[in-house]
Amino acid sequence: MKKLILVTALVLTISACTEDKKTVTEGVNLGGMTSNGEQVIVKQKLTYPKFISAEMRTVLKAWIPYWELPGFTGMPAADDHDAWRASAASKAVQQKAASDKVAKKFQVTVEEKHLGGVRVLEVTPKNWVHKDKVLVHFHGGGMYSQSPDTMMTAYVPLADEMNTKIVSVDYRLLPSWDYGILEQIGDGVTVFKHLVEKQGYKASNIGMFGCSAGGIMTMGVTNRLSHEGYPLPGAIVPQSGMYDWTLDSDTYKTLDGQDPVASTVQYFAPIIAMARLTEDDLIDPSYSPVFDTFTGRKFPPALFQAGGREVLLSDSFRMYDKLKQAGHEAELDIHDAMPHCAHNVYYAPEAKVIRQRTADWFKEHMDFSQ
Amino acid sequence: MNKILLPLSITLACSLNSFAGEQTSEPDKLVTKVENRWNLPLHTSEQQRNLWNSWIPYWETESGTMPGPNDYEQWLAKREEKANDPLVARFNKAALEYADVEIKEVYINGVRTLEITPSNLEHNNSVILFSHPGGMYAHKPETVLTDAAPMAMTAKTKVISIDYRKIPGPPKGLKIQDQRDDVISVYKGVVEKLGYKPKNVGMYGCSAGSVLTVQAVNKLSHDKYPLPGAIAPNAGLYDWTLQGDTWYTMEGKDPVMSKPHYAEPIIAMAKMDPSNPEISPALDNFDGREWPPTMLFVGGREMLLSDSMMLNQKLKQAGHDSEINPFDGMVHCWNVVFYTPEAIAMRKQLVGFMKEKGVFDSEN
Repeated sequence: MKKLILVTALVLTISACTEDKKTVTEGVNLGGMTSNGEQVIVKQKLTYPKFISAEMRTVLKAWIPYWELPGFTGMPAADDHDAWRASAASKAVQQKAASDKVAKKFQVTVEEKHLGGVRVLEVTPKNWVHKDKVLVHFHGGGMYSQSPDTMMTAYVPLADEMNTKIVSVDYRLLPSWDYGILEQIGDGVTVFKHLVEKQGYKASNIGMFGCSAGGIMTMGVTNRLSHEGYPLPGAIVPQSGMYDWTLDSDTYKTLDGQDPVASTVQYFAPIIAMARLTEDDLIDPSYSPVFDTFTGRKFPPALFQAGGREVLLSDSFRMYDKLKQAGHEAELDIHDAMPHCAHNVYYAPEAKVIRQRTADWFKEHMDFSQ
Repeated sequence: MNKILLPLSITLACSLNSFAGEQTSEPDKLVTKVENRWNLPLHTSEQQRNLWNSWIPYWETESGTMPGPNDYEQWLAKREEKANDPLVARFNKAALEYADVEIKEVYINGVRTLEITPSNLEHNNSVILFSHPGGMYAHKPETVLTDAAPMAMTAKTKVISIDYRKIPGPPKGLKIQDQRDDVISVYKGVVEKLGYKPKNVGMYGCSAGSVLTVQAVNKLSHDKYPLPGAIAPNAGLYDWTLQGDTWYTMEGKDPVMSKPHYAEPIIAMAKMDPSNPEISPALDNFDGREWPPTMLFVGGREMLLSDSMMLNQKLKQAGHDSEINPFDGMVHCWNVVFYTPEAIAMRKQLVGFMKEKGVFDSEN
């Protein structure tokens, strides 16, 4: 039997709540639990199972969570918009090179367009077959960072795999004093309606997907269209989205510190504060679709993809369950030991499996025979 | 009673306080003093939270040390102790008040079973085979009526709970393959002697019972024997080499399962090659052979979560009809707390799945 290497537990203090001063506590991993009423997050030197591919392992082993980088003092303060933009700019620079490389590798044609006033990148694969179909992609980046230009690793390989055009939406980003998450979702709705009304796509010939913030967008846009009674996309694949903004899903606790890419305390909490969501917003179904009612209205077949090693995992459990119980077609596709948006490591075998599942779902529920 | 440390909608930064346990002046005793130790999410039912949040893990109790690999008598004693656990007795008694069933001891192909007939029996031509949990070494159908009796009522179908033999015996030296063969014997008996059509047989189990269910179906599939209509194992161990990621990520977060304190002693006692696909079906190849429609139930708060992910991907890769259905925040075999909304939902979904796959279809 293979023994996992014993992990060394480090303890960090968190000062998310100013009225409770935190202190450092030594201890073993108690799942984010505290002694003395103090809040601690236990961080471990991450260990991964042996079955992970060499490609993925190389990336994961080299991955230092940004909150562990020397000099990291926390995400920007909620209302320090300049700092958020600076953080977004530096993240974009890191991603851009990989993005350019993937566009070149798959020899896609990239065209900048504005659909209903919203900027998109339209990516046409070298072997473009399914001309009556289009996939709408929403990029990740915590609702405040990245763009279609910097996140091509997340969608260009799928355009190639499916020989189908992908429109990646450059929705507005936070922070802003003028608009919020609902307006960001609105940008996605605008693009979808433009494709139906102005470009003549049948709604059922449009698929939608996206990871992280893109998963939020995919669910948010689809849910709004559903409430409006508007024609719905043929199928959707929300990947690793946040569907309960109160963070009352189990893996926000149990897997925090295990996912090298996203952290409840170090990442999502500051973003929610920056997005200026009120207590009422957090439980409002237009933000948190797990609290919505899905009976008595239409909803497209939804495949929820997520990694087994990510704090957002159980949001997908709950969203899947909610849709399924309302009688809609939904399925979970979860991949053991994978971090947040693992398919972005597009050349790894695990990413290929994830992408295959995404493609299968669209093919199964939309007619790709022509 | 657990203490809920925050209302649902307090501001986010502070909601992280929900991770906080009870204050104690003895940090080293933290594990047993914390009332809200396991801190299940608030969307879970109060009954589940009440039961588990202050749960003291088995291995922290006085009798919590598992016997050594060769301590035959001690394993038997441990089994006896579990069978006589007053909490288990109380739960089973309550389950029989909750579910109106008739129970008959029946031997099928030489294997002892309990035939559980619900008072609302509707599907006379269908049957559900249940393999009970108990770490491969413990329990019997009588002590896990909490699962099978309410299931019979929900399914309006007869449930046959299999009293497979337990390792390490008797007979001494019994192997996991022998346990699996007990399950196979019952399945074949049900098909060949009791005359049920394979498609009208549903199979499920929990924990060890799911291990045996999947192992049994795997053997039937390899042998090209007609397969059951659908299977719905809950929280099985499908990779005995323990490669699953949650064996690592969930250690210390699952109130009823531990790698060093529970899984490893059982594996050592079982004395088998964990990389043998007969034992670890997640390591098998499912290409080019039949497999029945599968729904893999599993708790979101358990170390066995990965095993269901792995098996699901394996089956999907081979083109089989498989779906994974994790219940967020639920511990290993949560459905034995049969009266909770999550247990009721699980039964409803299991029966709905079997119905969809035609287990209850009858030509009459």
